[in-house]
Amino acid sequence: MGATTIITLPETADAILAAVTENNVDRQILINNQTQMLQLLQQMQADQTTRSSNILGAISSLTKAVSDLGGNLSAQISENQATMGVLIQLFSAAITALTGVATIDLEQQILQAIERLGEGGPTGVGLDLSSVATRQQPQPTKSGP
Amino acid sequence: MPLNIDPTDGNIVLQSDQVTYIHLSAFTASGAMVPNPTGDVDTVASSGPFAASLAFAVGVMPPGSSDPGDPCVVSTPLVLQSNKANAGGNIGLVITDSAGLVQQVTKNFDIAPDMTALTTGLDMTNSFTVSQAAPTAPGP
Repeated sequence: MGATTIITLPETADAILAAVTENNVDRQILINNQTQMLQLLQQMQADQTTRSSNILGAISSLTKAVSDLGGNLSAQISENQATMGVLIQLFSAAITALTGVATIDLEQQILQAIERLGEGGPTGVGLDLSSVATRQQPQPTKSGP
Repeated sequence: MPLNIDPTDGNIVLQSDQVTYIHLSAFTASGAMVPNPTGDVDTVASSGPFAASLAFAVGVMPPGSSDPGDPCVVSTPLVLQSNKANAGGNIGLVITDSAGLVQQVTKNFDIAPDMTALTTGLDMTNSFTVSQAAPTAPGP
């Protein structure tokens, strides 16, 4: 038989135990880290889902707002076009009414023309044949016609 | 008082010994009478081949009329007769409005002498004599 090497077991066991213990601690730390990482990933995923949902909601709201704005703008444009049409008619009629009139101040003519274009304003002048009066005069000396 | 209208042509027949006042008014598009615009000035004139036989002027309706003080067209015949009977008449009226109001369709005018008998009497400008024997009664 060869020489027997005597190993001091307790020291070795202590070292092994210490190494195992240390390894367990590291493994626990690793497990803890993995758990935290998983939780973090889960939280991130949840956050991402919420964020995506919020973004989709915002996009939907924005789409509706743009649609509403488009509708309002369309209605406003139509209204403005109608208003412009009426104004063009008013001024066209005013200009027509003023054509050939040159006896009084131009501003006064414009005001009168616009005033006439209001509801019930006069547009013509003529004789009221229901209101007549006569006065005698000497018979004309010329025979006519 | 109503105007005398010739039924054959719708002309207004003015009596030559009368000045006729006809109410002048502004009208809406629907034909309703409304006051003239503020500052509005109308001028009138006769037209046609016999325009010189009838004078038009803007005046006011006289007291006693239905619209005293309102603007009117004063129509003054300048000849005894101007109508179909002597190949005249049909005299037009042109209204010019300073505010640009358009003239309503207006009838034309004829002038006729007054032929309606109202009184009786002597025409002192027209006499004739014939000799007779002197009366025997001394008078008075």
